[in-house]
Amino acid sequence: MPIITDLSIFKGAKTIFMEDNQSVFELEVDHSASQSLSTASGWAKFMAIFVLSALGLMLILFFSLNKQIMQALAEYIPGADETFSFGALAAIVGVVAVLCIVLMVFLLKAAILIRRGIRARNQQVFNAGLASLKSYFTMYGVLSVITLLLNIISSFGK
Amino acid sequence: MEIQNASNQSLFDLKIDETSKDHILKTSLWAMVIVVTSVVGYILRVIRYATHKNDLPQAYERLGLKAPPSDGSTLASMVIQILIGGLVIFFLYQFASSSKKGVLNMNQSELNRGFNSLKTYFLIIGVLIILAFVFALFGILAAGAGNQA
Repeated sequence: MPIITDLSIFKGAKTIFMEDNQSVFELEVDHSASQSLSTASGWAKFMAIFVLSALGLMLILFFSLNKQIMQALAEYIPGADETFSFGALAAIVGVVAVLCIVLMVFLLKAAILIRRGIRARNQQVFNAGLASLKSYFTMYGVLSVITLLLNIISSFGK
Repeated sequence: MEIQNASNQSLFDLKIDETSKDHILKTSLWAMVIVVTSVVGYILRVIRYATHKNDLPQAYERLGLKAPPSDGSTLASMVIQILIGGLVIFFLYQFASSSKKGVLNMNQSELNRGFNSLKTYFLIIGVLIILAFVFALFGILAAGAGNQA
């Protein structure tokens, strides 16, 4: 039974198939893709951690300096203390903070899992990372559509 | 033995399987939505500035607020924000379009170009965050030094 020890005979076939980069084989996370995704994950992780830390600090400052904030609002916007109770302001801040936290958690999870998946060559972990990245962009997309609609209403609703 | 080694290596490489393709396609779809909404937002901003720039001082006075700085710095700050935002959005657009093309046409180099653009997108945002933090820190230190003096 002939044993094929020289795989170079297949290289020609691979070259023909790969000539215009349209492969009959599957797409894969090759060296270039894994480097790009690893670097992207690194920066995404940094961004998520920074934003979460900054949010936490802002929330602490907001709740510890509530009197000064309400005084400043009353000074700069006449009638603000009548319109906004601290509770209402805290509710708005809370909703925005929760949305940001959820968004950054998706991004952090995506960054960690994609990197882990690439390093361990684990398809499931990598796919879970891609799923989190999808969730991040989905939520970001929905929020950006809502923001744009509110923008349009405020611009042309007057 | 050599055939076995070659096939073992391909078995352990990460593939863009059907699940990954689905995630990448949906990610690029929503990334494109973000690009479109951002571009529309920038256009709205420019229109609002162009139509209301003469009304701004009166609008602030009516609200009892301090009027904004001179027209030149407001315009300059808007242009800088749009340019930086535009650069970030450009790379997001490249990621969305290249990765979608790569997945649909089974084109490895197009997909890699998409991932490279995603890397650049997050890199620019990360650098901007660092710059903003450094400027804010300098501002706080300068304000603190000013108070002490």
